Amino acid sequence: MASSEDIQLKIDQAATAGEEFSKYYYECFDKKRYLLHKLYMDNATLIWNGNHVSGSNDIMKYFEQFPTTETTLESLDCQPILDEAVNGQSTILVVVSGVVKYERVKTATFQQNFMLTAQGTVWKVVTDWFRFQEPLRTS
Amino acid sequence: MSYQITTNRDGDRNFYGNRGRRRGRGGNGNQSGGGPTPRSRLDAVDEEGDIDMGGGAGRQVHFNRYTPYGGGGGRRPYRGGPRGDRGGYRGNSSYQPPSTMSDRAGSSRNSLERLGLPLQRGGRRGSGNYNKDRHDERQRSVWYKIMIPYGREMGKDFILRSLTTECSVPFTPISFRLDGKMAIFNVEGWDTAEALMKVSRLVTAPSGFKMLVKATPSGPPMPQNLSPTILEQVKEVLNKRYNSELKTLNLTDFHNDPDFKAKKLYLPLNRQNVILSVIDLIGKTASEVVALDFTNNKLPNCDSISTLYTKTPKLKGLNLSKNYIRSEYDLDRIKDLNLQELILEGNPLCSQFKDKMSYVSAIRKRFPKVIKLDGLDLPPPIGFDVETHLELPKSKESFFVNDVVKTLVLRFIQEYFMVYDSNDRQQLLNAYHEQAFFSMFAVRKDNSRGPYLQEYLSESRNMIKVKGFERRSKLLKRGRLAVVSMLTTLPKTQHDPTSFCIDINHYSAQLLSFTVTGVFKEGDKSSPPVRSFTRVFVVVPVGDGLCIVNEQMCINNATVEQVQASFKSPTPTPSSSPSYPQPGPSGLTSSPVTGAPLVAVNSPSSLTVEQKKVMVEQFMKDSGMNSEWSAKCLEENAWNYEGAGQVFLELRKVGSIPMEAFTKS
Repeated sequence: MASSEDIQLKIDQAATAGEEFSKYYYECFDKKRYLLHKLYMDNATLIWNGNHVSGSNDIMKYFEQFPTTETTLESLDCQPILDEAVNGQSTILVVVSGVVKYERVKTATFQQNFMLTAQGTVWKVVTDWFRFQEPLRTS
Repeated sequence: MSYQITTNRDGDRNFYGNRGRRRGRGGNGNQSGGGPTPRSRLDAVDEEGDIDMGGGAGRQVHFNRYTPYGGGGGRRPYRGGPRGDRGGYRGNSSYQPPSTMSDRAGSSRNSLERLGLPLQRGGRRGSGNYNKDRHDERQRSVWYKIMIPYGREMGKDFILRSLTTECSVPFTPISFRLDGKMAIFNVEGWDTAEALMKVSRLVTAPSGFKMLVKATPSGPPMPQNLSPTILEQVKEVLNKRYNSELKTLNLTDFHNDPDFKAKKLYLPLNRQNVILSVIDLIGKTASEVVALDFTNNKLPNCDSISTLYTKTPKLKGLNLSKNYIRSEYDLDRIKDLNLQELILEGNPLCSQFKDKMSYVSAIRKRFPKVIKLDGLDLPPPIGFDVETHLELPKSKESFFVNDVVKTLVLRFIQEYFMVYDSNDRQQLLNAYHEQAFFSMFAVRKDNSRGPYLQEYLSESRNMIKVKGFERRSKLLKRGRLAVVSMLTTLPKTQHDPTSFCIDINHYSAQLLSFTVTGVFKEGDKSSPPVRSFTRVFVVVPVGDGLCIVNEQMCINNATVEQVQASFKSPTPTPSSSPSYPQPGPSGLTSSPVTGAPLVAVNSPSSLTVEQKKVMVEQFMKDSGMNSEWSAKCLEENAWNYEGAGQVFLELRKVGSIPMEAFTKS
């Protein structure tokens, strides 16, 4: 079992990683989408408003068709995933909420979460989940 | 009280020049909950224009014309005649005969009642102690209107950001809007309004001037929903006015529709709840519409029709003639509509251009594809051959990797939320890992409704705001005891299972992660606010069940759309155990988890070999499978009989059970 000091360290590490990641991720998404693939693992998965896409290549193709975006983050939270669950492989959960404006299409509040895992010295996205804050059944 | 009349006349003379002031009057001037301060009344710069007409009859009329909400269409809904006429009602000299007025007011009141809107009748305001009570009243009002002069040029982002940073208490701006040069929104509670006023002059606007913040009591925000009966009427009228062949919808002079008149309904499109409901209905029943005609509806701006672009993607033509749209900037709200034809004639904004060229250019700037303006052809625009993506993929419902995961997760969620909504969240202890992590944040949105989230804000680990390491560390709960004791302090809830959307983020033998979104009501309050939530769970299999190792919860106020769509099915009452219908799109026959306690999910099965044997035998009888496969199925479903049965039925339906499962040796 990890010592409490160890856990504190991991919490701090997750926070720093999450802050840097979220900053870089949305900067890329809004302005340099062509760089985004570097953040994803090859076999990453995306669930975008219930649409499932797997593999970083397909995910990039999927994002390519999106209109230009302007994202404003409002909230951010990060947790280290419990060691026991990931066999000691450093993994973190990054959760954000914000507003995204799709040029000439729509502006919407969204929630998004990522699971990032350490590959050597870099964090890579394993899963990317995204949804607008909207009801799906309006009947 | 003659000074009041002076104010009126002055106001009327400078009608266009005093727009900000005017607008306030509709929303605010006539609520009885809180009168204006003596200051504002004597001030002649009575922003509220809260005007008492002096005479008793006048006052009475004033009440009857009560408009509950200052926002958009809510203003001066009952005033007949075009805008310019209104001076007639204001000054005593040209005051209309009381009888006419009360007739008019009377019928308005009836329609208010029919609409189920809060109707405030005389009372305190007419009493002799009016002056004495005014200050108290001001603090008693539930709703306040916050005004930021020159807010338009500061921009919404700047204003809300500065106020959020500077204001000593958290606040939720409701229905943020721009009026003239002013930015306006509503907040709840005197404490909030007072705290906001203290921010006045603390912030320097980009223009170099200090930002002023003013507050005055206001009516409550307009309820968003029309009653189902009235919606039915509206639907009929819309059907009648829809030309399904040409896909055009004529909303001309909507409130004067003979069908409404016959039913004594007053449903003007310049009232926010009416127009929102109408647009919502259009989205549901006539989303294919290509042309909409809003002629003659006293629309004050384009705010309320700005949602059209999500509801009517094929809309190409819009007729807004003979409305009260005052500024070309109002059109910014609808510039996302992909319009080819637009009619604006008969709106004040048309006369604000020095020549036709500048008019056309202002319109083209917002609607580059418009080729017909006010019936005249414009030269087709010449653009560039760049591919532009103007569509997003359609949202889908829950994503489950496969049926096995689906069953597992659904069962877990059903049981989890059943306990979460119960009076005893302590029982959730077993759902969490000994060293589980949990944190949450609450988001305050200006475009959502409902009261503050203060019950959550103290626990909110939003790292954009919470910077200190120690504070962050404290807000991240570690260990099941800490997690559950925190959960027990959160408000009581009643989730709407039909609103749930569940996506499996990640699935492997060692680890499962899924995200649940939806809405809940805060259980034991008299008019419970509807909140939206997003919870991401990371779980591991333990024994035969699942155990949460990480969870993050995001809570904010539900959007208008979410509120409208929620709790549509027969509402489960908090007292009775909620019967969760199966969430998810496939319409599986719901198999209520009959009395299966949560512990069965996540604690190692306490079933003896003997009990398992009995279950396998029963399962063999029910499923027709042999003992090996029956045991396998039960084993894989954590010995949950119902769950296993459901998985079996599903798999059999898709024919994925091999024949050998049914051959008995």
